[in-house]
Amino acid sequence: MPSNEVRRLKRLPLDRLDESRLRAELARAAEAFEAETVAADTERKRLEEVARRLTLEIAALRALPEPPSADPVVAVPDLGILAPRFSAIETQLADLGRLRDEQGRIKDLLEAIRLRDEAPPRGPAPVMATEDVVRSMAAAVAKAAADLPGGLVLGAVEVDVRGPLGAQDGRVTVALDPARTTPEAVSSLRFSLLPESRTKAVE
Amino acid sequence: MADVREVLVAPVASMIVEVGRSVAEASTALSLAQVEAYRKVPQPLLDAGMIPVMFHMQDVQVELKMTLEIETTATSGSGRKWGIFARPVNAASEASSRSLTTGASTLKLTFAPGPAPLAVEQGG
Repeated sequence: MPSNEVRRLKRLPLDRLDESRLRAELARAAEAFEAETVAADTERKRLEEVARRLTLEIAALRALPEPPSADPVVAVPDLGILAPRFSAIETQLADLGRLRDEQGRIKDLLEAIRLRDEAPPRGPAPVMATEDVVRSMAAAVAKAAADLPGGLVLGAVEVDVRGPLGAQDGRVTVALDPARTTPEAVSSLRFSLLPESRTKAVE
Repeated sequence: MADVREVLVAPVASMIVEVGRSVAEASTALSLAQVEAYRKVPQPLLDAGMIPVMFHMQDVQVELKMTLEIETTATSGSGRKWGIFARPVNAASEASSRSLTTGASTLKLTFAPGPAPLAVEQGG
């Protein structure tokens, strides 16, 4: 079942596995995906054929003349009896989608490993004095406030600059190098835009 | 260390301005669509005081996750301008797929209901 494979993959610490193990997991997931897709497809086609035949039989039964009251009543089946089986197929297809997502996650990790391995040797990171960073950001905010289109004003602006600190020539510096950015060192720019005239809310 | 002669501010400022421009355009489109819809409300309903509310963008909160970079640009003389450039976080600049979650930007829009402008209510 694809759901078992998805559960197993979700339990694995994928981001801590080495490349060969990741490739093995990707191959196993691809194999499961292929097999389950074929099985689900076959079952769906079989059910569709059953539904088609059942529809014809129902139509034939409904076309029969009214039996004499003494005859036993023939129960006309309903297509609804197939609903649980179609529903099971839908669940299986949804699980296959989740399995495909897990495959995508493994591929992302492998791509990250490839990029890391192919990256050229790094020189020293470019650094800038913190006061220059602050001055630059302040100037950027002032320029943005002046350049905003009519009808909007710039509210509070919060700049979160993240990077390793250092010291050079008696000044505190910060290194800004996208190639070395880790998830913890992603900077952010948070701001609000407000209409120049506010409309009072009504109940 | 960067020898800052003149700091370029346009890249970070333009990120704010571009978002602001998009928001202003969206707000205008929203208002126009609502005025159009208002004019289709049957007159007897308006006469009975059933005035539809109109929604307005009251507040827009933006958080852009980005990586910062020091870049230089040659000036007309022999000098160089140093600037801080911001790039939105994307898969190509990530060290791991974990960053795709932490690097997600957000845009929160608050739409508040308000009365229709007087000119619209009076058939303007």
